[in-house]
This record gives sequence, structure tokens and C-alpha cells, in this order.
Amino acid sequence: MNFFRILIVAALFASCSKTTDTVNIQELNRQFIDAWNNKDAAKITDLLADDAEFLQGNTHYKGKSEVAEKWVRETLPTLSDLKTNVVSSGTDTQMAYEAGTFSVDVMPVNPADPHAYGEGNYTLLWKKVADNSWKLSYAQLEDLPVQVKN
Amino acid sequence: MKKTNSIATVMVLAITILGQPIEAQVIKGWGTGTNGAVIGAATGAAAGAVINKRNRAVGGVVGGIIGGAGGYAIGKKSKRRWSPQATGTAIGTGAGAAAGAIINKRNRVVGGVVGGVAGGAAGYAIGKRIDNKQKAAEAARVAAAERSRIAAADKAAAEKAAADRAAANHTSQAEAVAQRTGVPNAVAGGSTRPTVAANNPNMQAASIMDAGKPVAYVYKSGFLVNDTYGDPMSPYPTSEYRRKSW
Repeated sequence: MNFFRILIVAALFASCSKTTDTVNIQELNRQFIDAWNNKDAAKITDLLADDAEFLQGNTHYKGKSEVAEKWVRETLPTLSDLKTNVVSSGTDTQMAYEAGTFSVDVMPVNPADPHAYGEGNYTLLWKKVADNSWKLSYAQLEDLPVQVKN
Repeated sequence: MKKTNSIATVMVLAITILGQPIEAQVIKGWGTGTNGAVIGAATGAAAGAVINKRNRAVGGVVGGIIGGAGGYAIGKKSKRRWSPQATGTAIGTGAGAAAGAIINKRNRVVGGVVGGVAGGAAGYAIGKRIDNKQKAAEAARVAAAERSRIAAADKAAAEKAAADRAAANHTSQAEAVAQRTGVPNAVAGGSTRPTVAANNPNMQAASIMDAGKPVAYVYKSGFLVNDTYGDPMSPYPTSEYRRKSW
């Protein structure tokens, strides 16, 4: 009898325990960075949340369409070989973030422009949305001066 | 003989005394006619006063008028101003002759001639030195003016090239962005935004410009120029370096 009581109590505790439905932030960011390096604007845009916000210096874009228009599509043709170096990251059931430094090759727009590379700091914040998918909710970049690539 | 010596001495003295300030004024800008009239009047007045012993005033006036008219006529014919050498020679000759005539009391003519020759030589040497200085100063002035003109022309050409490059670079960049994104860009229409590429001695061309093609400028430190410098809609409008990479 005591054995059954213990079993029932254990079952109740198990049913009340918190689910650990977290996300693999490294995998999310890998998809995101790969999409940039593959020049896949559709994939990048698909990863943006509807209320996504983007901050970079003086600029602040709000909403998926503005971020996709003014950041993703304008910047995508100007870079290649984007790499990140993670300094800090964390996740819970509703939110995940990753922050660190990045480096990228800057493509010349005109034939006379030199090849260059840029570096900077980044923060990417992901949130779980209504359909339980994870979307990029907030991105902040701080770019350092672009240097000529030797 | 004594009379002749006295006349010559007085004339030389008159030329010497009156000639120096007059010649100085000639160098400053008197016309050749005025110069001749003044010198002739002074010389003629002195000679007339010496010759007309009975009435030196009348002699001086008559001599001055005749000398002035003659000097004006001679000076007017002479289109060229006196050179420093000629001026120095004349003054030196006059002064030397006067001094020689005064010093050599036994034979004032010989004294005047010897003094005139010596004074003329010394005056020529002084005039030549002045002439050399004037020519050197003029040459330096011309050279400085030429350097200034060349520098101004170079600066204007560099400014125009930089402005043309900035405008072409910015327009083509805007057009490229518009083409890639499919979004019309107001700048693609040809308007230009301020750029720091122009007139900055710390910048250099990243490559040699082909005819008619824009040239990208980078800072000598190796950083790219921010083509959107001053544009408040850009991420880094206050940075002279290009910062946006991602």
C-alpha cells in the first residue's frame, strides 16, 4: 500500500515539473549566418520576427519589412564570408541570445573600389513566437572602421 | 681760364646738389620729360647766374627757363627711364667733378675731370649693385607669383577631380543598391551628398583612375572613406571612416 502511495505522489510531482523546451541557440545562429553567406535574402527574412528591431549606430529599423528592406537587402550584396565569435549566449523557454564579435569581407561596389574587411560587435536576440518557432526579435550591430584588405 | 673754371665748378655743384633728390624722384616715378625739365632748369639757372655777372637774378631766371625748356625737350624724346647704372654714373660724375674742382685749386679743370671720372666709376658700381638687387627682387616676385599660380591651379584641379569622383562614386553606388534591392533610391537620380573625400590631404586614391571612371579613396591609414558622411539617415554620419560592414 505504501508503495502505491509513493508511486502516486511521484507521478504527481512528475506531472507538475517544468518542461525544458529550450532552443539550440548555436543552431539558430548558424542558420542565420549561413543564410547571409549564401546571399539568401528570403531565408534571412523568414527568420525575422514580425516585430523585429534592428539597431546600428544612428539607425533604428522597426518591423520585419523595414528591417528586411533597409538592412538585409541593402547590405547583403556588399559582404561575404561573415564569421562570428561568440562571447556570451543564453537560452530559456521563450528567449535566447547570442553576443560576440564578427568579421566580414566588404565587397567593392565600383570596379575601382578596394577589397576591404570589417569587424564589429553583435547581439542577436531570439524569441519563441505563437507558432512555437524561433524568430530573430532584436539585432544590434556596432561596426568598427572598414579597412582595406591586403 | 679762371673764369671758365669757376663756371664749370658752379655748374657741377648745381648738378650735384640738385641732381640727387631729382634723380631719386625719377626712380620713384617722374616722367622723363619732367625729369629733364627739372634738371635743365636747375642747371640753366646756375649757369645763367654765373655768366651774367651784372645781374645774376636775371641771368638765373633766363638760364632756368632756357635750360628747363631744353631739358624737357631732351627728356621727352628719351622714352626710357634712366637705369640705376646711368643714374649712379651721372650722380657720381657730378659729385666727383665738383669735389675734384674744389680740391685741385691750381687747376680746377683737371681736378674736375679726374674727379668726374672717378666719381662716375664709383657711381656706376653703386648703380649696378642697386640694379642687381632690383632684378633679383623682381625675379623672386615673379617666381613666387608663378608658384602661387601653379599651386592654385593644382588645387583647383584636385578639388574638381575629387568632387567629380565623389559624385560619380555616390551615384553609381546608389544605383547599384537600387538595382539590387529593387527600391528606387532618391540619390540614384544624380543628387550628391556631402563627402569627406574632397580636399583631404590624408586620403589617397586606392587605384589609378581610368579615364572617366570613379576612383575610390582611402585614408592613408588604410581605412575606407565614409561616403555617407553627414547623412543623418546613415548609420554612422559623424564618422569620416566608413564603418558599416554588416
